[in-house]
Amino acid sequence: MTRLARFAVALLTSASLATPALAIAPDSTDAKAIMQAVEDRPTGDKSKGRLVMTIIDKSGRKRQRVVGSRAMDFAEGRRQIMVFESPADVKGTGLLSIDYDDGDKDDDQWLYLPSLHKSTRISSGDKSGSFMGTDLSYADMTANDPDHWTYTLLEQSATVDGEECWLIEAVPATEKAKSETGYLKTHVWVSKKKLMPLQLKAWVIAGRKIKLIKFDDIKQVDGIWVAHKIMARTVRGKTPESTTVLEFSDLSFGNADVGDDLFTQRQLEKGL
Amino acid sequence: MSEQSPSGKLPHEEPLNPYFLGLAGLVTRYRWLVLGLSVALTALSGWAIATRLTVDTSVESFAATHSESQQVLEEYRDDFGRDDMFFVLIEGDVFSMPYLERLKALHDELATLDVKVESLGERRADRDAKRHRAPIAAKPAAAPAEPAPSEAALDDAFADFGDDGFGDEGAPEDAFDDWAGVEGGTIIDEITSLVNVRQTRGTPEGIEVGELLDPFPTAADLPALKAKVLADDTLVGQVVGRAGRHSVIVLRTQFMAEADTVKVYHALEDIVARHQAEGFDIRLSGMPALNVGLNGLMMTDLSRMLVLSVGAMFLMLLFLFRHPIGVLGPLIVVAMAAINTLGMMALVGMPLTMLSNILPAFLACVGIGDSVHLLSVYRDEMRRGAAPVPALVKAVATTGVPVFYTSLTTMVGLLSFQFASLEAIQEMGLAGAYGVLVAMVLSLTFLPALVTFNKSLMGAKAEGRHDRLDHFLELCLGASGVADDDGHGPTPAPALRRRRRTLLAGAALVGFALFGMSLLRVYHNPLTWMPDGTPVKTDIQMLDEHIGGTANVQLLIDGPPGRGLKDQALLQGLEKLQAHIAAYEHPDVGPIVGNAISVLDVLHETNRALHGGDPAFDRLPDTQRAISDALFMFENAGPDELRRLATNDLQRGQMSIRIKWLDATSYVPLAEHVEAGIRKYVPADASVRPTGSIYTLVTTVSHLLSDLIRSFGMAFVVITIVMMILLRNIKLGLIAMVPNLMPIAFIMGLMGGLGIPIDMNNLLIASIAIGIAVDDTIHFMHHYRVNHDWTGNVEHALTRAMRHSGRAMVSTTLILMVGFFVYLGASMYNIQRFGLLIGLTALMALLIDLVFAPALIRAAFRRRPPKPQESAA
Repeated sequence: MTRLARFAVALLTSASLATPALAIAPDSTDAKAIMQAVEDRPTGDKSKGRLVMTIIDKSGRKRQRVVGSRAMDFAEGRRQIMVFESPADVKGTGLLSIDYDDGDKDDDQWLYLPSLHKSTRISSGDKSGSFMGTDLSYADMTANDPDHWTYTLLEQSATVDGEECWLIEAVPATEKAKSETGYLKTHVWVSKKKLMPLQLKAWVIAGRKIKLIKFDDIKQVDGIWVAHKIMARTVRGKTPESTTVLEFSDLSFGNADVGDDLFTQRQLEKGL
Repeated sequence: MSEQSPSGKLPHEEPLNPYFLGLAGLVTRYRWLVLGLSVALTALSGWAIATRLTVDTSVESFAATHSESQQVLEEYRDDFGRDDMFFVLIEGDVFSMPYLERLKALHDELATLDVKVESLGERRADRDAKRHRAPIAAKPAAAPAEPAPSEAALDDAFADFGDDGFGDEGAPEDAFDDWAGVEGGTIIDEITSLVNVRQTRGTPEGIEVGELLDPFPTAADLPALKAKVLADDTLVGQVVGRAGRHSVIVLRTQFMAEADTVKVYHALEDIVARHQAEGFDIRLSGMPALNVGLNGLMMTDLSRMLVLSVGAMFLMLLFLFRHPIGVLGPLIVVAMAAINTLGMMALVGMPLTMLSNILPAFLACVGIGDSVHLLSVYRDEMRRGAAPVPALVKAVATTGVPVFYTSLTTMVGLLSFQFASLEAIQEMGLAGAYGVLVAMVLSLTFLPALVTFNKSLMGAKAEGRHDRLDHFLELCLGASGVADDDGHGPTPAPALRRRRRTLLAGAALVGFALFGMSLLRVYHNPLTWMPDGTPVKTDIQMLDEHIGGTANVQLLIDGPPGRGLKDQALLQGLEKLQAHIAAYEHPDVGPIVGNAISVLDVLHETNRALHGGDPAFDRLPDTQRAISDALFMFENAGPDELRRLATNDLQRGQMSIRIKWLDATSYVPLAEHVEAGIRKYVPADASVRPTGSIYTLVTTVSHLLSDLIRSFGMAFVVITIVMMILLRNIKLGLIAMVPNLMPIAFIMGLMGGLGIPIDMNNLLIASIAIGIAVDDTIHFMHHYRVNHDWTGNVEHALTRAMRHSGRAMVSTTLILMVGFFVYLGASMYNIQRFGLLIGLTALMALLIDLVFAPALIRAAFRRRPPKPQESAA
């Protein structure tokens, strides 16, 4: 799977440039080349925005969190800082993460808890687990090495919301990719115009579930295509298990006020 | 009654009922139509059984679905999934490299278990449909900071997916279709063992949530690992035994139909068999395994016994009738009644449960009774020189009324189960009543149509020649004091003596029965149905002995609005409640409460980890904010772990407590203890509701006795009224209830005396006993009443009733006794008891009707002057 992650998540903080036509021809049938082009597209390196996360469980319970976010590319990978604005009982809690480009290196995360008055490093053994209770996993949020996947073009010209796409199947080629994502395979619909995925379907090994992700409300911000809304739903059998909606606002790129000093434990403890 | 006998031979023969006379005429005239229709309807039922009949053999199929604990259980399952788990118990030297390596291999293979499960994800829809209830309403968000997206709009968004991208692969909301034909994936929801049990470790820089055996230990690490694990109270009793000789892999599958659970069980058995090794002795256990194992044993035993029982009845019929129609007729009626009943169940969507397993045996009693009465009278008429067709018409016309009334009363007995609170018993009552109706219709239509092909005497001796049966009936009349009395003048002294002796013996029997009944107890423990050494039983016992327990109590916790599970006062209350429950000791068995798992563990672990692993911090964080922070931290590190313990909005959580296996009644004090703890420790703005397997058992069994009494009470009242209508005499109707009740009282007294408890299995013995007892009484009393009306002489009426139906009653009883005593050869104790008790009921009902009832009637009714017809004759 091609860094769905980055796409999904990319949305938090960066986005694809509106120049895909230069990267690959719309009539290309080389699935790997298409995914590589998606992978390689330039992204905004300094971004900020506000995110509303809504999670709805199978009983219809809703839970909402609002997060302010900043992100920036560094030599070793991407750094991101998120600070919770609401609800009241998590206000001020912050999360700093480093997603290393080196796939062999575990990502780093620090959490700032106001009651401890200091940040704490955390790690979890299971990357296929849910990210903060959403329908997206940690693996969805971090980069994946294209060499760990096998791509097949299923349809040269599929349509999503009236937009022409490639439909590509991605199957983990290594145990690492399989265990980290927990996916048996994925289908990705890549917009030929925007060179970004419009929707994705993943076969989740644990529990034989299906995960659907839809990228919506795609608009250009500072010349970059950004999905302002991501919807993810996990379906098991005939029943949707849970649905996550991520809505982005106040997105901007290349911000001068996003600098190195923002992505430190000290800043985490001070807040955004 | 003063009408003329249709046959004109007064008072030699009793009158014929005009309705049944008409029916007999129709049946003999259109016999091919009757046979064809019966066969066609049975074939239709056969088709329905083959294509639509579902089997639900779970203990829960007995559950009182409207009971509070069952509704809490459904809510629990909506949020936290399946509450019963498979346990794979492995004996060996746990802390040795070969054991741990094998454990890892087994764990990994089980974790990827993939069985094609058709019923995946259907539970919720099924449940909603079953309860005729709207799906659980969406709960509003607690004061959302931003307007939340509407669910309808979201559904639309995903529906668009289908049209635009997923259209040719099935609707996007049906993952089952999406997985069709795809190899891979697993139906395991959760697997926990030493290999992956959660470890929240404090590290110099922070905390880490990982797995116990990651990284996998080396031989040098083992002593330290052993010391650490055996000192950890959250692990001992959860995944490892205290002595380090047993560990367990706990498997929670997705929800699935019972038939799919059976498939999973067999798939697990295969895997377990492959991993068996010396020093690594594996047993598959847990509630689903117990259900599958128990039902497998029951099914095998019952079907084997049913075949043997039918064989025995066949031999008995052969002995009595010595003619193909005499032997096969009743058996075909029984088989067709059973097929039509199961067919009806299939057509209306009623599942086959452990209770309805008994239906074929039950219908055998009813069907055989009806058919044998008809055949006996038919044969007696032939014996007296009647031609085959008139003999048949007369048999239908004289037995029609009692057969109709016996069927009616048996149906009333079964329909009285509509007042039971258990759905499975209600359904069994309905299906049984339908079966009785079918058996009656077939006995009065199909069987006579079949009998029209007979020309022989069916093994009967010519009139005037007494056989052993005649001698036996005379003996009975003698014992009741009727034989020595011609009904005229004062009662002769010997007759009086015998009658008094008989009445005294009856009173003694009632006394014995009442005493025995006072010893009756409710005790439901399916493990005691199996002989010692049965693998399923041993596995449960080992699991109880070494790890936690097989049963469970689940607490469904709803926090105060807004703060939910983070509420400090609630969490402190839950800690006290957990300690209160853990301290419980059963009066006889001692401690039965095993480990508890809840969000409290998460908070303890996280708090300790946040304080550098200091055991002093193995407690709740001190402030409300620190609790919120600890939960936030844990959720970030192990969100899936948290989801098993709390809903995503943290408003609702669960505590799961393992309990050792006991009989259902023994859990009652524990349930009371839990409820007392809830009242004492849970703050008023929160709610904690108990449920789980022991609650299912306790509530189900607590209904058994009241159900039994209520159903019996109803059946008693209605049957009394039916008796009065049938006998057209209030006094006689009331007297007839004595022989109706005595066999049942005897059987229940015997159960009490022998220590056979009332459980879900033998609850039905009572209903079959009513059926058998009432049948005999009705046949006897009906003929007594008709003859008494005719002759006005009690003694003559009793003698004629005895001659008319006595032979058939004895035949029926012999067939039932032989058919049910065969069940004593079963391997399961509950089936043995079932056969013994039904067989004895049949015997007692016969003796009471033939010996005690005549004496009672004789004592109750004074002689009347002879009627003019009789004096004329």
